[in-house]
Amino acid sequence: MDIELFYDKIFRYCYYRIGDKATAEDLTQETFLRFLNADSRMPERYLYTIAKNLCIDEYRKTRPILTDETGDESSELPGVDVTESLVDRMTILNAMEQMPEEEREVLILRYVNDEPVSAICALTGLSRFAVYRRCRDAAARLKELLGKENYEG
Amino acid sequence: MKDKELRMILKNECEEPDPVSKDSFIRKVNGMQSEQSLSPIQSARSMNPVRVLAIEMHYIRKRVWVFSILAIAIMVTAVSRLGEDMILHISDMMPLLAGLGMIEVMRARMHDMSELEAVTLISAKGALFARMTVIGFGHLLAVAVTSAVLAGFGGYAAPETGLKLIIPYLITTIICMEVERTGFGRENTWSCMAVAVLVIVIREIIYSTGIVILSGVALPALIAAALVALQAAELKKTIRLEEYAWN
Repeated sequence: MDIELFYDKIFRYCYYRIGDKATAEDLTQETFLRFLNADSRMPERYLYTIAKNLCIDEYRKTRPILTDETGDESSELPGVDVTESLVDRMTILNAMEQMPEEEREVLILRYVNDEPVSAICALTGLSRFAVYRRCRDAAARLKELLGKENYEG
Repeated sequence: MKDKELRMILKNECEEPDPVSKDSFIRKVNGMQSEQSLSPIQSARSMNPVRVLAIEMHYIRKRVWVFSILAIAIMVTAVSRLGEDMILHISDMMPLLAGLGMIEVMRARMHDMSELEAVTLISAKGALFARMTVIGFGHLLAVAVTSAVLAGFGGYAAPETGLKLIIPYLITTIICMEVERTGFGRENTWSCMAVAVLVIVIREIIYSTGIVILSGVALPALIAAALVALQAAELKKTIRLEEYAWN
């Protein structure tokens, strides 16, 4: 297994689900440790399953900053000395946070990590058509949310 | 916004993991993996005999098992309908069964396939022996079932029937093992089948001319015992040949 490649993928997956770099790193490393301590014959896609469960646990323990404080933060942003890039990043994370769980998942897998549709089917238990449809809906929703948030790229 | 742009945005706006933390973690994990990985000796120890036999059984082509079942069915049907005398003719199938089995046994060695199969886990000698065991036991079971069925249905003596079936089988395997050690035999897989046909022809000639009459249990049992001893010697030679090849 190419740990380096999967490390980045799992990190991005956790990052877009949790919205915090440090926590995403912790969860990524925890994912690998759990995967390696389990049955070595497990397919690599189980990394996502482990990461997903860890993200859910993390979400339950401490709700992400963006969920409760989004309104406050965005209202404070114009007055705060932050870079434009950070604003964009916060906007995307905020938009992602507003998306339904299932759509966010396929969006991260397909658009961020470039996972093949067959792998997403295996992970989510959906048919190919369902995955395509969900990807399309998720992309449309994110575009709409980014439009509302005035994302400027 | 196009899908491609969305993809780019999502990738570009995602933060990168801390390279120092990532690097140290990967080093740590790689270290853990190398510690956890079993040495070849440990791997060999973790391979229990049942697993080795199961692996070898998986590699044996289905046609061998199909032919074995077919042969049993034909032998049982023919003998139970046409009478006990037919056993001598019907048991001509046994050399063919042995020939086919021997092809399967030697196939790995002929094409150096044992290197690809189980040698990463056990020795080539072990792989060859496991293959022989699987086929040998498979056929022995076939003979036992045939004898038992014939004894049950037709009232034929099971030991006698079994011996009549096993003798041509053993003769064929012994000759095949000998032939396989020659250059010609190793290059021509079907030499085993030629041996089988030869055994059938000779057997038919002996039976029709009445030179040797195998009746009762004592004489066939003695012959079978001698053949088993010969078979063991041939097996030893074959196994040792692999050691010589390595040396």
